[in-house]
Amino acid sequence: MTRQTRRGLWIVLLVTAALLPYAATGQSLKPRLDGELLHWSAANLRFLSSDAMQQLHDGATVSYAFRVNVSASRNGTVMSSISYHCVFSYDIWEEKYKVSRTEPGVRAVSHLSEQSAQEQCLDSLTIPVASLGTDSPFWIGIEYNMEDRKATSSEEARSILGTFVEVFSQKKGKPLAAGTLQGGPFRIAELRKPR
Amino acid sequence: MRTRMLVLLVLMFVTRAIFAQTPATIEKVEITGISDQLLSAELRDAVQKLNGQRYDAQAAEQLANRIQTEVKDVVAAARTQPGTQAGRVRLVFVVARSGADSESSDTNVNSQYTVESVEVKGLLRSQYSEALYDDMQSMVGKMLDNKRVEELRKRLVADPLLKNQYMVDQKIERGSQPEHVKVVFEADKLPWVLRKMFGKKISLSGGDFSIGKSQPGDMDTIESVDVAGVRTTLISEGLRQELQKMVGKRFDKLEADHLRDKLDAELKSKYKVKWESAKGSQEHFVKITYDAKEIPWIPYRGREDVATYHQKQGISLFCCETTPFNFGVGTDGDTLIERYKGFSAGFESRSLGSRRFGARLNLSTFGIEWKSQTLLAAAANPAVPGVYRSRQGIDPSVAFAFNRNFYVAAGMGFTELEMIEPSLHWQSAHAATGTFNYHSNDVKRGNTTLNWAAGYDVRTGAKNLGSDFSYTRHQWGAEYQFKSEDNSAKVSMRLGRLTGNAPMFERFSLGNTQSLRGWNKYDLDPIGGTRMVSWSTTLTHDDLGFYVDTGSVWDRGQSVKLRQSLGIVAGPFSLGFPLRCSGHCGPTFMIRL
Repeated sequence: MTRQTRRGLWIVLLVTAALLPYAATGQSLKPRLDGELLHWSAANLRFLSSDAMQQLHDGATVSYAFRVNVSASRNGTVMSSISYHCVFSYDIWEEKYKVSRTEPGVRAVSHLSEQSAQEQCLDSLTIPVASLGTDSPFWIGIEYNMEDRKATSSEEARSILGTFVEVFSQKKGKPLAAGTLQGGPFRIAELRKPR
Repeated sequence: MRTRMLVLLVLMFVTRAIFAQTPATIEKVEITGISDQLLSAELRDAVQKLNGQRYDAQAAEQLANRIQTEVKDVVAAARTQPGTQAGRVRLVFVVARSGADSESSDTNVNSQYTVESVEVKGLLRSQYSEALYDDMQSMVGKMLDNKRVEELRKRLVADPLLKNQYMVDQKIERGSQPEHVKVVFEADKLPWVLRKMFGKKISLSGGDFSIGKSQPGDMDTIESVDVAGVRTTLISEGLRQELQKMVGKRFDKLEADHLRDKLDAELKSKYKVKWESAKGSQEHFVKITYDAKEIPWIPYRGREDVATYHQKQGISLFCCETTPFNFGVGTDGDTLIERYKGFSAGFESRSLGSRRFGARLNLSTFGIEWKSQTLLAAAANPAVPGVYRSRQGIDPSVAFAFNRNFYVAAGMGFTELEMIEPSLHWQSAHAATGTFNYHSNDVKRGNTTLNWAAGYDVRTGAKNLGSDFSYTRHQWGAEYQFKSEDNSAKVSMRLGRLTGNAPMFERFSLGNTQSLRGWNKYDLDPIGGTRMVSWSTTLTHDDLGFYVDTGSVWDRGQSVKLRQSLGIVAGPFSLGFPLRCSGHCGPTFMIRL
């Protein structure tokens, strides 16, 4: 192998390594423009934790909080952000899921598979195009966390002993599920182009 | 040049692979928002035939329109989602109700089903209130209301008999008929440690109540009501009539408790009243007896149970002394400058023929451990009597109460110490003991309760008692407590003075889980002192609070150096911060049960 060939292979490897993170994040979040709203999808999406699934199969409601952050670069300063809440439930007779985006505005879809329920929730986390520049690139980060349905109990939370009991009596003792999805860079002008 | 071409080709390949366009073969078709059973078989087939086909937006849109036509009041749209492999998509027909139903306030999909039954697992029916049971059963036959279920779960958790004793989860299960569900509350007892640490004592029928104990049910009828342990002339005619009015009625725990409280009030807290039930002469009949026991004038005078953890002094656990016969075992490094471990046993009567007289005899044998700081300080201070390996004692005493608030006690303390230096040998530390003790009645004004107490202890060892140590130890103490609903304040003060040649266990120390909290007694004075002053103020709201401790321990002739600490408390836990300290001191974590 000549010196030039070796140098060429090194360049290929470096370029590939540099592009891989972009490729990975590009797969994690995909934008879809619907009118003046940007919707999101992701391949192999799974944010409902096993603990959440157990609660759902016990007929309970599980709520997730989402914060959609828009930034100019991958790890840049957040320019704007929007908060959403998705509430999931599981139909114990039909064995299908229902997801409701409770705020802002109510939007509910039922008879979903586990995968579709998560996709519907993600799809409902829209961003108005007006808040984004047409040509400037932007990155999207979606932070999520499962909300503790028992945390709102004022009676139980009132006493410190009650809090200890609540904390120590967590059957599984696991932290509530949380994570981040990321994607970019996107440009509105490119998304508007017909495919 | 060839290399450049190679690089370019590879780059093009990688870029294409990465930024590939959305593939177009349908790997799966789903309908969301409605049950596919609402569609005609023909339309369902048409939808399923798309599986494996190339995605055609126009064809998908036509099928969405057919769904809208077949099912009333819905809107439908076709959406694609990425498939499991490149070049594949999932086609989803999203169907939503166009009416108000789509914005239902109850987000739980099971709210469309009828409640068939409500069960509570893990609890006896008598362990929670009648009203709560009725409210649970009122859900039966109605549509499931998830918020109501959660509200009832919270009420069950907060029920006085279950609070801090059980954790409760709820579950919705399929009913025996289609579209019916069962609501199941599952109660699990908390681990023993948590119940002991956090569980509040539950007073039922005037005494301590253990969960699981059988109580009369609301289906039982009261056959008779009796009062035992007190002359009936001490009870008003009105209350006696009220008690008898229960006869023939269904058992009502709230009513039984209410009358117990009235009886307690009429007897002016001189008696401890509790009610007990027994089976009646027929099935589903019960006999209720209000048992009034006179509260002895002389309180229990034994060693207090100790269950503490001090970050720098370790665990102390010594329990459990009771009356009339007592037996205590454990290790205690909190109370004295020494750590003793062993057992004590004895007998105590709080009412010896008369409520004015009491007697106590206690025997103890302890092995003693010393901290290295204590050993070094004792070796450097020849004026202080040496350390010992074991301590054995016999302590007889008698008590006389002038009234229910004031008593005196006198006795002897025969103690033998196995001294270490200069060689193992026994020495006697016999002492005469005396106690004066006053405690006020509870003064109640509205929701506020006040009480205070004061006491003086003296112990004196003398040669004519056969003691090798000649000394006198005085200790004064006072305490004031204020409680108003969830707020409480406690101020306590202790003074101590020791003269002569006293053994180590008589010396005063501060800096444990009760005094100068946050300081370490072995840093302050590892051999204790002959003079002591201590002041403590604790303010709490519910189980949270803070304290300020002040105190000093010193020897005669030394200057007094007052030390302070601040701390926060959360139930049995506390974190103490010594103020203006230097050296190895810092925040100290403590537990005192």
